[in-house]
Amino acid sequence: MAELSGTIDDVLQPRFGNRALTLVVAAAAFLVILALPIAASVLGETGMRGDFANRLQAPTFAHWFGTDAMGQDMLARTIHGLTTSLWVGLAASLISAFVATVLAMLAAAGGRVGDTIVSVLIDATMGLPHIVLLILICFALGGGPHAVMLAVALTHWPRLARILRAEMLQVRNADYVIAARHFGRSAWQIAYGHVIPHLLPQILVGTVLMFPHAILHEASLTFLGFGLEPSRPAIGLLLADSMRYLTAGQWWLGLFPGLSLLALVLCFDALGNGLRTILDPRGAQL
Amino acid sequence: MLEGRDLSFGYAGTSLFEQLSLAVPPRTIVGLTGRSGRGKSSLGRILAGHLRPSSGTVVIDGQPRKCGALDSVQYLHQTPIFAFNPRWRIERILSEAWPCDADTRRSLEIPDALLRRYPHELSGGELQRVAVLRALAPGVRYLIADEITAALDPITQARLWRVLQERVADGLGILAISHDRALLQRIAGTVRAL
Repeated sequence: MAELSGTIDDVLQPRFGNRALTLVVAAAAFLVILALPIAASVLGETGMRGDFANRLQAPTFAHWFGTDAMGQDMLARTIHGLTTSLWVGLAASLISAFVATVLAMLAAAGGRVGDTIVSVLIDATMGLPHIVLLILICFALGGGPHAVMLAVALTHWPRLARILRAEMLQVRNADYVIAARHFGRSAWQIAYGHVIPHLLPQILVGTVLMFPHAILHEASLTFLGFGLEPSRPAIGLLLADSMRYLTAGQWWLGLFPGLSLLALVLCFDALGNGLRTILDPRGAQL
Repeated sequence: MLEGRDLSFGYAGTSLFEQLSLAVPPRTIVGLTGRSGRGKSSLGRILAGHLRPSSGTVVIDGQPRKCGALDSVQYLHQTPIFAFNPRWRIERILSEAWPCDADTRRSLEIPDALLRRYPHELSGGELQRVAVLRALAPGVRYLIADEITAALDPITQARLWRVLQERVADGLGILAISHDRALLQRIAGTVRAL
């Protein structure tokens, strides 16, 4: 018997372990993300001034990420660059989530015609290569920080819109919504009690998980030279600059900003997973 | 009397039934049986107002059903978990239909502890009893019971039908849809085959 229960325990999922770990990791990730803009404002101009006596230094204790060709501290530039990315990502995610929600509501409220129009719009946008669309919009708007932000904001809604549209259709035809109608509940009560609580977690998690995409695309656009002005550090700009020095052996110029960008993206991923865990009713009383 | 008059229905060009009439009087259990895919559930959903027939009408005491108020015909699912919002606790699920009184709750053996749980934390039998309790709101006069005890063990099945039979004695009309002819012969006054 003991042997048997042992094997069954192996098959069963742990009751607490994963959930607690996911939440702790998500909280830590959130703190890291929060620390970025704070660090940027605390640092201010520290390390951002050129210091030609200390140019192109490998990482030391004085300069953890080394210094660039102008003697600027790479750690300070990376923090400022990631903070810029964060704001672009925030604006882009919020605008995209708004567009996606509005389109999903139009698809649900607009009957067959509305749904077809929204579906075609989603398919058409998803059918274009994303980076081409980004470059087109950026180019059409003349480049610069606002063009990058708008381009990123206007191209990230289709995936969330598609998910929200499907969820909306599903919940509208769910047996419990049909039952609610036959218990005499009004459309408003159904929207407030059933539809919105079902969609809100999707919108929230979708918005958070859109962040890393937006940040990476902002970095790509800046890397390709469409983006933000050279005086304002952006992570894409740092990576583009580092290209010239990598072959000369100055590896720290590319490695550390690149790793930091990766870490930020992973932080958002962890935060999104944590939110999903919290919002899942199946885990509510474990 | 709950009546379906000259009902026709079908999916994608194939007809399930045509010109079918069925009446469920108060104080009776009418059985509905038939092989799988013959349209038993579709007929039940039409009578409950969940589906629109391609032709024919459903009337309650000669009147068409009112929208926007508690429907006097309620539909009970074979798998009740789909009829509950997974994000709601049982007490909220019940109060969406009516503030359930303690006597009815006790007769269906739903303890207080159950009310604080979510649907996925209940067993199949508990879920079905909650579904029945929710549907027994004052003003509900007919139940469409679509295989409601097919997934339950014989003792739970017998208990649930005993509670429903008491309600029938008080004036409720039930259309009991089932494959189980033995069950229908036991509980139903008349049995229709589809």
